[in-house]
Amino acid sequence: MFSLKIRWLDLLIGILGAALLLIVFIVSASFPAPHQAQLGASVFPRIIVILLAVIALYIAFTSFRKTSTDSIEIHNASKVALSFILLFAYGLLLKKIGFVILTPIFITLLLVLMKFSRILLNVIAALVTTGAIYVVFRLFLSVPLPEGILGF
Amino acid sequence: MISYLINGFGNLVLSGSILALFIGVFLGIIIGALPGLTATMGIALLIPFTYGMDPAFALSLMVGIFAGGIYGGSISAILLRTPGTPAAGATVLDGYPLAQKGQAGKALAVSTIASALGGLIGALILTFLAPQIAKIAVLFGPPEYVLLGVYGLSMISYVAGKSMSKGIFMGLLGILISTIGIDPISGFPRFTFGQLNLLSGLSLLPVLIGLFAAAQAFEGVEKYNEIQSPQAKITKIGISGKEFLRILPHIVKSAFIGTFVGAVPGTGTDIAAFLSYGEAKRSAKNGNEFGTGVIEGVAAPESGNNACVNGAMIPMFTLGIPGEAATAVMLGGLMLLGLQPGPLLFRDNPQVIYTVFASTITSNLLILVLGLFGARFFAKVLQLPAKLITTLIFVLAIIGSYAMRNNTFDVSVTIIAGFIGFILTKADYPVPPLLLGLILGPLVEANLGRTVIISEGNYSIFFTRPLCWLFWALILYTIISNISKSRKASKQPSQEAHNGGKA
Amino acid sequence: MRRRILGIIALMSMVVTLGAFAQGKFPTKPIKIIVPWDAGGGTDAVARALARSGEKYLGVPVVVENKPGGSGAVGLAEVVQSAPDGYTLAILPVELGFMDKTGVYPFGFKDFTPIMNINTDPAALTVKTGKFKNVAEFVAYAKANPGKLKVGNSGTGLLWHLAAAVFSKEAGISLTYVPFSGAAPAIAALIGNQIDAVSVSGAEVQAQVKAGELTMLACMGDKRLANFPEVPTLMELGYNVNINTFRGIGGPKGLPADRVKILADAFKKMMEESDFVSTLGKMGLGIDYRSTADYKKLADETAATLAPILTELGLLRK
Repeated sequence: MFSLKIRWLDLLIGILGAALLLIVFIVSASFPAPHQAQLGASVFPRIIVILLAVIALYIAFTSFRKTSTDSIEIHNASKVALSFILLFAYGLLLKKIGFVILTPIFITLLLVLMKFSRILLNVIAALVTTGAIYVVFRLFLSVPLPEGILGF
Repeated sequence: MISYLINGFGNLVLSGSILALFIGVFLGIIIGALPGLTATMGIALLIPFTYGMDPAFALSLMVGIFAGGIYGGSISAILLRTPGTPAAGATVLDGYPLAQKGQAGKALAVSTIASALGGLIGALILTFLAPQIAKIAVLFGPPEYVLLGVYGLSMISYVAGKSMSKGIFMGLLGILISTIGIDPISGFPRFTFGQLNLLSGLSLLPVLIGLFAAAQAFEGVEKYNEIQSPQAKITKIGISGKEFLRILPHIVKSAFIGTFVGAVPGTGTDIAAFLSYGEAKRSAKNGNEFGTGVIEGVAAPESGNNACVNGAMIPMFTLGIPGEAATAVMLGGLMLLGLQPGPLLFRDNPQVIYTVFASTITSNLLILVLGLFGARFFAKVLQLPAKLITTLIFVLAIIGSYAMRNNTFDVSVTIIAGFIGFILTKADYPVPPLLLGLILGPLVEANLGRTVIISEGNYSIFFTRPLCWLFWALILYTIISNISKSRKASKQPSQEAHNGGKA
Repeated sequence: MRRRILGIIALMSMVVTLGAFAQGKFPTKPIKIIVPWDAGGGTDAVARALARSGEKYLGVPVVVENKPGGSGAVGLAEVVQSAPDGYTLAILPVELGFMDKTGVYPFGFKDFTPIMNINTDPAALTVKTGKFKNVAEFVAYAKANPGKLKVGNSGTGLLWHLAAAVFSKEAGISLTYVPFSGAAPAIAALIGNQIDAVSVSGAEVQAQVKAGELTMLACMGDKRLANFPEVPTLMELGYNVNINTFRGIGGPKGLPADRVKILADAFKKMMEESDFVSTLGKMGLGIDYRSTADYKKLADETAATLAPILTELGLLRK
């Protein structure tokens, strides 16, 4: 289990707010000057980021003064992290390798990760799910799915 | 006029267009329920097939897909926390918790009834008042859009959840993110860091699917070994007469909000749904229970977005200007059929127009029938093992965000938004304000820019136009009633308020 | 020994491939046309109408793929990065000629191989009916009230914005430009009297002008619009303004000339199909075939006309 005190997360948000303030002001310094009676490209983001930084620092400050011990907990953190990595790999490789090949592998791995059932059943469930999505999207609605190396 | 409409109904049945309408609604519900496939895409996919069709037939098909698609989005929103279209983003907030309480049947019934009734009211306004509404809609200039956006943003205070400051933070974050991309006024690319995919900013749907669906799936992995209650027990599909009377006023009010939001160009079904939800939460007696799965919270956005479908057709038919993204595509389809949309359509092709009006009215009855009949099948999804549902949500989230623009970048956005949403919700940082900011930020900024140009930098324009006064009154009323309500609430702290799950 | 055999096999397979190449067998697989905008728009309609007869003249299917985002930049970037083999093409917008200079596109016309032009549409100056009767009245009012007239367009730095600026420079008047997110909201604002004129294309205001709601004062092309023969061109009125949007077809830089020719010949025939002609007619889009060379010339000329305007509007950013 992974646990983090909410105070620390709020502090992080405060830092994020300050960082965004800095980034927006630095980046928007190079925006072109307004033409005619325009508002200027930097005005609106700057107003918003000032408000955002103020409220973020307020959150961080009040939360830290309260010395509350509330924390967020992520159970099975390693499994969540693994699923995140799996999902990213799936999403990024999808176009190169293709939906039909990658999806059963992805679903099987996720099901194994969550200890769904015996391996054979996991694979069958993965194949059935993939098939169902393929039929509905590709065959029924002819929406293009990532083809990848197989070409369909 | 009535005789025209009767002719329209006659033509709808005799020409067989009613069959097209049925197919359209049916296809629309499926397209809408699948994440990433929106009503707009559905109509665009259809247009090549309408080539050479009878105009009334083809238009009925499009009307059906549009109405069915906006309704269909609520099904996956309620069952899987995966909004099928941006219009269903607000429906997630109460629809999903309600289904998790074991009342999926009720949630689906409420969304079906509200969609049909809201859509019907919108269709009747379209049929009988289109020219009058269009005249008001064009009075809507940049200053009015700004105030409409500000009014919408004031809803952040309703959907903030436990911590107001965190809600406002998320709202501002949403607005800030919405400034990424080409500036609507100067045309200069902002905060894109050389990334072409950021030129038009982050697309709403991938963010929406990430924050709701992918975040939910991460939670599914987190709690994989907890025994999940059988949410599958499908309660009766339907609601009691008493419950119907509870949601009826919200349906009617939302239908008017939705129709008007649809009728002004530049605002669409997503805004209609969120405004309806916020107004229902403000005015409902049980407003503080919103977000825990109350039927009013499902009825309002669903009525609003389906009314918006019909409202969006008002400027299309009367002025030849689309009221919303899907109607922009319909307009192209109309021209390919050899019809010139706009003021002349009433004069040159009244029979087509009134057949379409008959279609819009009928489409809502079809939603009611198909929706209530289909609900028992849709809800079967929840009988799958929880772990399988988790993987299904993951795959649909990825495929959905990819299918929208055939773009891998959107997939990354969904995954990252999902993970951030998963963590932040745990620390009481609410997701809905971020969405409001993301949806309304561009509306406010672009129109503020236009206001400055047309007023030559004179901000008193916000106080010299009658329609602006109306919005100021609305904003003030909302704020005052919100303050007095929170005062009352603090006097008698209710136990229910902090009961139950998250939004 | 084994290495040598492998080497011979590799050499042989190379010879075979080269042979196929030399025979010029093209195309042998489906050709993809990328539309850098959403499905359902005007550019999409042009591409799909064209693709319908693709198999008839090329022997392989022609598929349309929508890849929207970033004012067309996302879809066009995919074509720039694709192999110049003639299998990945795109509908090229007029903005390719100048949006590299305004800091939006990281590529320009030079990064593409033009094949041919398909369609051109002139800009038009349109006002609310009753406000101005003709261009002379419009110009006179603008001269008396500099900067007071507000002209709507479909987006800053897009062609219709520049068209209005070219006209104002030529007429010696000062206008204020109001950008909208597309032509439709600009037209709605004009109907509602929020602005004084729009400078979008004639096709886009067609419905409202025919209904009498709006009045087209002039068209900015070199000849009158077929649908509005009574509306003069700015050229006739003595202003040297000729601004047209054009859509062409092209592939990535370095497309072999023989393949360009095969494609250009086939696309020319596809453009003559009655289905294509009637589709564009219904959309109010002007068919304008131009050969590879003429297309290139048109693009170069337009870029040259617009370059000084960009500086004037403060849009030159590179």
